Amino acid sequence: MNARIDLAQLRQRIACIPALRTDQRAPASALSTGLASVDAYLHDAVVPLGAVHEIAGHAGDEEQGAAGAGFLALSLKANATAGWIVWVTQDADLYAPGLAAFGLDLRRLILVSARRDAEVCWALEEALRSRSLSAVIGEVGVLTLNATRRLQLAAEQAGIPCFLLRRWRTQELAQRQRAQPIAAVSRWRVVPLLHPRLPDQALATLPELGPAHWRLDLWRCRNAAAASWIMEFDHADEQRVTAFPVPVAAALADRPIPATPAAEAEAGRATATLLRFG
Amino acid sequence: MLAAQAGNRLEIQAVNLAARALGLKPGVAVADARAWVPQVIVVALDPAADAADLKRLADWTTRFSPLVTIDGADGLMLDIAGCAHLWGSEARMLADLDRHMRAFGLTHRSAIADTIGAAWAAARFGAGSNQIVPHGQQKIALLDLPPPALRLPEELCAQLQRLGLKRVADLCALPRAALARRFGAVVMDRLDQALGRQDETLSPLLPPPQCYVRMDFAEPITQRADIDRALDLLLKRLTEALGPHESGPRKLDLSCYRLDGETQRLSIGTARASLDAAHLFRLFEEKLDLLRPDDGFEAMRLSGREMEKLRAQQRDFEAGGAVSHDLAPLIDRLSNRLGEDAVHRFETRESHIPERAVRRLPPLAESPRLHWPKASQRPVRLLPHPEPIEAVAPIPDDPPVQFRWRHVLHRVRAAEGPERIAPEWWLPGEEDAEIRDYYRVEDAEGRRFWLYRAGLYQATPAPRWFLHGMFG
Repeated sequence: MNARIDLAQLRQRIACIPALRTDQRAPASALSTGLASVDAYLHDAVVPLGAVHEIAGHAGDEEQGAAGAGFLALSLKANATAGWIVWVTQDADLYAPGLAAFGLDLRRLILVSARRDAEVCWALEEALRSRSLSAVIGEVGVLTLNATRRLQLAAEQAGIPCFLLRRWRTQELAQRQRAQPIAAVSRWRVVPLLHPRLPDQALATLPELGPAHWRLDLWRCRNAAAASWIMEFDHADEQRVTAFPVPVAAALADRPIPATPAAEAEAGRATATLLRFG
Repeated sequence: MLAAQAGNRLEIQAVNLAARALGLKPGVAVADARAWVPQVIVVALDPAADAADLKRLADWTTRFSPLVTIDGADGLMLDIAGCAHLWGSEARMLADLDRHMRAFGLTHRSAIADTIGAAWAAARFGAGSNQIVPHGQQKIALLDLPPPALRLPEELCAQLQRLGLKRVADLCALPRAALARRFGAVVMDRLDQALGRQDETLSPLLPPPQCYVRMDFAEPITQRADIDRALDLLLKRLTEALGPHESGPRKLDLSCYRLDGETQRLSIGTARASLDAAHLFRLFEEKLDLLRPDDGFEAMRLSGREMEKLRAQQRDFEAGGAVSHDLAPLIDRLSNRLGEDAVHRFETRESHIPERAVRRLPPLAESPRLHWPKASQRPVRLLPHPEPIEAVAPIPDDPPVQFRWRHVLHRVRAAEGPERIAPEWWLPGEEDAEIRDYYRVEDAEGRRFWLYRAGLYQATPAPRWFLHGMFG
């Protein structure tokens, strides 16, 4: 037990080193998602809040980044409890009622529309340097290592998270850009999963949707190993418990990332099916 | 000599001094003029180019006064109340104007008077150019001038001429009531306006600034560093002058007067009135690259519009007091570079139509109203325009079993709906809008979409389907 505590303290101290700041108030805050088991993992790993965090969609959703936007809206509730949030977009397709359903406080949200990736980065940096916000989000396609380094520095100094929601116009661009190195402390992938239900049967009508299921991959992280979770979010329940804005999302599995995509998918499905019957 | 088609003959419209000395004047046919003076140069009249040049000249004259308006096809009117002292006196101001006009190669006539009418008359009909009608002496100046000097309609002038009323003095001698009865109220109005018995104001070309500072340079400046310093000084002077009034402008215009008569203008806007010179400088700084000094600027003017009371919070911020969560500087910088409407917030609009349920608000608006009906699930992304899809729905009023969107085939594995949204037929342009039946569907990969069928189900023509949004 003692050893475990020492380990945690050691990690905290190590987390301070890369920043090399004179004021040692960091890492007062760690990145959180509002999902208990994910947050426990992030807390153990001491993933700092004031940093660049990348969130990308999966194949097919790289253009819209819908799941990523939903996950962001959900986690902003945990990461930016007070203060202004700036969301820089390029396409005017963010839909306020949908965001509100994820519990994001729209009174604190300021939308900025930019025309190019470079403008998004510029706006993000300005926002980070203004010192009057609690989080910034940028929807961006092509990124250079240098641009992200600048953002990382600015986010570190501001002590607030800078989320990069990746959106690529084409699949080809997505393939090229997806694995490009960027100066992000954590890199996430949000993949919608099929709702776990009985295998295909000759149903007379299509089944109902039920809660949304996502697989959450933390596939690169500065202080921790990669990890994946399966989470479930029920729009209907969220709406019923508006008095307590607690996410109904829950991390259901906590396991290392499988070696091959096929195995990965298999594992995801297996867990999901388990859910249904367990 | 300028000529233009008049009826079926080419007529002289305007002549220069040399031609006038030879006896050529407007109204003469070009053919006659050629016979008279064979070496005359005839140039076609281009009213559009003339108007554009006059507009440019009007821009340039804002260096004398912010209140400038174009008068007809060939005149400018400036309201110089309170401006002349910047040149020392009205005479020196007029001399400066004269010098510049000569430098531009323009022949001009100008005059200063108490009223618009008197100045107009003196400039166009007075003896010689650069006339200054002394304060309160409009009547003396006007008496000897012909009636057209009163800006009367042409046919009225001809009528007066026929009656032998050749001077303004003749009009003044007649009883007012008789004059008004005989020729209409316009004569009395114009006379009263010229004499200052009736008020008249200019409607300026540009919105009038509520405050401004200007700076003339002994030597034209071309270097960016000099422009920076001049702007810095102007901003400091303006903010210092406004400080005691506790109000500041929300729009600032910087006019730079170039040596060749061109005027270049930069504008910035702020989300909230600001007197922070450093902040305002940063907003201008991004745009200074747009200036093209060429031969140099000889004067710069900074003017403010849309004055607003300063808020207490902002003064704290300037004084470097308590840390303030003041968003205004950030919003200014963002909207200055990305466009005025690039920064906004969401607010609920009372509408059932999804794309109309959200309104954009200015970023610093007071507490937006946010209440969307909780019962209906809405996507995170809504396409600005619903995109047509090819959908296969075997049973009427059922969700599609598969659909093709942007060349990709999606098999539907689960679906919910329909949610019927009726058009708002009472709005203009919505009379023909169709009912929409919305479905939430999940495809084989787990992605969730928001689709709708336009119109009620019918076998023929085949129903049209659209994809409108994506759920997280």
